[in-house]
Amino acid sequence: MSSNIDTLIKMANDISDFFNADPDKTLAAEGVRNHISRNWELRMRQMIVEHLNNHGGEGLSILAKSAIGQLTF
Amino acid sequence: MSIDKDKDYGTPASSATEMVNLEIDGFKVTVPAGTSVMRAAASIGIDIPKLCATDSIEPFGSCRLCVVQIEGGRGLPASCTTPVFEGMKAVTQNQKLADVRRGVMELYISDHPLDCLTCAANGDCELQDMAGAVGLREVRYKPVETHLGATKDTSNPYFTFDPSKCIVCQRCVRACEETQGTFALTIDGRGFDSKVSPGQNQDFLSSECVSCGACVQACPTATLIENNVIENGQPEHAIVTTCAYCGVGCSFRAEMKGEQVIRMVPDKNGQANHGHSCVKGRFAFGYATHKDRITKPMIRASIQDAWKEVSWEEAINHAASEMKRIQAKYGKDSIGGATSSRCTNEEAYLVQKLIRAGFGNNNVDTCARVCHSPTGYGLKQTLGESSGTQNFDSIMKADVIVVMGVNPTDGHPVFGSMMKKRLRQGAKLIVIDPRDIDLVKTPHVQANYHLKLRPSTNVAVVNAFAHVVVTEGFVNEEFVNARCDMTSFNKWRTFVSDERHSPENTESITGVPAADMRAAARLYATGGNAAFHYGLGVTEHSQGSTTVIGIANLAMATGNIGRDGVGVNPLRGQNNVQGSCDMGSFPHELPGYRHVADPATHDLFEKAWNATLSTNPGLRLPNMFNAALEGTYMGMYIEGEDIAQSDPNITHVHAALRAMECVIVQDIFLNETAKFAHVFLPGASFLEKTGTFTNAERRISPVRKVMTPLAGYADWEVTQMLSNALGYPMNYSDPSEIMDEIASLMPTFTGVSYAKIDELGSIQWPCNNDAPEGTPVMHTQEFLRDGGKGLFMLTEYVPTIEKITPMYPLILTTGRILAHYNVGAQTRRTGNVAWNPEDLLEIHPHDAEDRGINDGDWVGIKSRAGETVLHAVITDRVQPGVVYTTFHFPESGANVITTDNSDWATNCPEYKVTAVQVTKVNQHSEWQEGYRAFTENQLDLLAQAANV
Repeated sequence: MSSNIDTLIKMANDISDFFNADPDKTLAAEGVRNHISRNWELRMRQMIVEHLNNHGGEGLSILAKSAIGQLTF
Repeated sequence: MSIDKDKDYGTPASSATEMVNLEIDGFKVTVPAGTSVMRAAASIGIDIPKLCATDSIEPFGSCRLCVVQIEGGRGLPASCTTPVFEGMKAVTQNQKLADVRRGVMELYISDHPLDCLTCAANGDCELQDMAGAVGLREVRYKPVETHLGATKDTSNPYFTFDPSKCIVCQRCVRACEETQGTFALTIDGRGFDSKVSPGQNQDFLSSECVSCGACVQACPTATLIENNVIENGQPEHAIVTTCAYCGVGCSFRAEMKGEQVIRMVPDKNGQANHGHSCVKGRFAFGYATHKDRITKPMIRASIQDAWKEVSWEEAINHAASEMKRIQAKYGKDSIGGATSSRCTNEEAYLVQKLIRAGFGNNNVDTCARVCHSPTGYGLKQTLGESSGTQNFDSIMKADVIVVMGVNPTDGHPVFGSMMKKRLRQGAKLIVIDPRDIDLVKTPHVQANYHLKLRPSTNVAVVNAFAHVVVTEGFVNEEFVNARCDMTSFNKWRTFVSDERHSPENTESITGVPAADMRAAARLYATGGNAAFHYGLGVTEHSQGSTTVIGIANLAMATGNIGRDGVGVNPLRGQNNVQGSCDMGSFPHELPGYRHVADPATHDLFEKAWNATLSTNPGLRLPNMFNAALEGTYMGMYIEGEDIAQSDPNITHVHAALRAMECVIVQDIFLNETAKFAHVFLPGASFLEKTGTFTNAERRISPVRKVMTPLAGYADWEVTQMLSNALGYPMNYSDPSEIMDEIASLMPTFTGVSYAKIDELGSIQWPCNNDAPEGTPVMHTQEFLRDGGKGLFMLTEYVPTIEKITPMYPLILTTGRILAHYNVGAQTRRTGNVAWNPEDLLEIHPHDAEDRGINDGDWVGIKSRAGETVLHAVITDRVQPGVVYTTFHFPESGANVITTDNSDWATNCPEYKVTAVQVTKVNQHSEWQEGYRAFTENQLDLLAQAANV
């Protein structure tokens, strides 16, 4: 575990706020996913995916949930 | 080695392309039009006597020593102020000229102390030289009155002003005006009463003098002379090296006596500074031999224990065994490190290599995390490379200069002076800053627009600029069509055209009057060459990366990129922060800004380094701290950074450091982070090692050892020893070998070598087959992105979560001041404390009055993160609702107050926006009391080191 989940949720939502400017939400989600996969350490990615899968992604924005749901390892 | 000085041609070079042919003393010479006779003569080895002329400032023609005869001309014109013309025939030596010169010298010497043998300038005095040159043998005048009894001004900690030796040549006054642009010196009085005066008969220290040293440099006598020279005599050899303060990267001659630095003299051949300097680089080098330097390795089991001095071998082996133990216990990813932006490129490269190849993970980060990481991200995305686009000289061709969130006269003083020079020549100035920085109004410079925005609203401002550009028809369609990705541009055009981004609709957000915003945007878009300069006031925000992207969008949309005089110019903070980033100090990028998971890059480095490398991005610094508190990150190797002072919410950082089982600090002092360390490895100052620094204009400059490392090793050698002890072999015998390896692995460095740097003086990357001598201006033909097209990105304004409330009604923003550098570890140990002995809180008179605060009162500053106490300065430099402080003194605890909120893309902290309350108090904060006790304890444990 590399960070507490609240920090990761905030980070994911902040990233989503930037890409959410794109009217094409598919592209927006892709931007968020790429950003997280290229910048987050593995444990952080695993933790946020676990939060989405097991806790419904509580606290995550719609776009963040969509992007995190597409993360692959 | 020798002290050989660069030739002084008397007057500046002409930049004219037209050439003129003439004869001087019968010798033919061809020079550019506009060249003075003095310079033309000097160019063929004829040195005309001179006193008031020097080639760093414009000619003045007052001393009359440089008179010449021109065939067909009348009288004896001064050669410094007489330009050449086609067919000119000039005579520099004959009896008539000799008589005039000797007479002039007699007058000078009649009012000059004849103490040459004991004068500090003996051996380096132009007056003495000229007396010899003109053959002065007697002084017939018996003055009734002289200046010989004038009182010395010793107020400046670094130089002495002795008016008894002044010949009123005004070189100091002109240097202050032309080179520095401060206009602090003047000539007071007339005729015999004329004298050089700082300000209005003030002493140097209390005047507006910024102690840049330009006057000392220009003085031809001992009137203005370094105290070090007075105390130690003239230096006997000089070595050219690069300053270790700030991202300007000034070139200096370290003038030495044996291994003692007598003075640092700005190198007139320096391609970043052109012979200019600031108070830090010129004078504040004494920290390198300060008594606080630690020169013996030390270890201890816990931070409650006394330090124990040990051999290098024991310290290195202990550090390596601890790191191995932690990895065995907590896993491979449980350790990491930080490279230093104060160390050389070679050293940063080696630390990240050790972490990636030796530790086996990518847990490496650097101080750019907390300063310009948004620059790296934003410019990489849009323009294709994580760096500024111009060289410094480019500004001399700018017609409009935008200065956003940066204070060049304090943070990058030498470039600030160049900027002021261009502004005095008539360039227009737009300042976007919540505070009245000096550039807003300084002698002969006044901003055309000062957009005094509310902190945290940068994105709304750049969007409003973009709205004006797009909706008023200022897009450079030709440039955009040819150079940019049109899909992204069209999307951006639609985005910024929306009325919500108009100056009128954003006025309530930014606080900037719509009319001013529109006018400034029009000026940027239509005023000719427009250059955007920005700093941490842009990056250190929750939307730092968004603003950088917005600036790049603006430059592309208006075609202000890809040539001289324009561009996107991040003014990087530390001396080698650009270089440390280039060298692969970020956890997701290998050297050259290539992602760790990129297959070709990964394979290249695995093969070159003969190691298995991780394809997973590592932890960023704030993630490291969180992981430490959660028990999964337990060891750290920190070279030349002071995260315990510089990073935000330091209570959190301190807790993380306390949680780690082995913190290895490599530094020249027991800095704040070292107080939490278990292993201390003594570092070397920039004077003690060889390598390179890369400045804000991508200029790779030489750093050359001028003295033996006090602890025996340069930092790269220490890293190498640690790596070998960890079992990952490194066998470099010289830093040049490290650079050769870098050049073999980084496409932008393939042409870089120590031999090439020595040949050219410095090199701006990219330097490769396409640009064998480097690249002063980037993106001239295409952007460095795949496909070569610039990318526009959408920049929605997202308000920060750091809101003002009745409990925290003011916004604190932080910055730095001229006399100090970063965490102050260096400058606090120099005479610079004469100007600024502590951090202060600037508060507007209205806010001060509301709180009953008077100038100089102790005030408590409380945020959601913590509380500290500083002295207040009441000033209208800050706007109502905004307070400001610096972070140079650890006991100030500026970063006790700052919060964890950070940039969305890079986690660069939002230092510039902290909601606070300020109240009058009469004692230090609880944190400060705790800090004082902790520091006293740690210093006590250090004092025991030699005896344990």
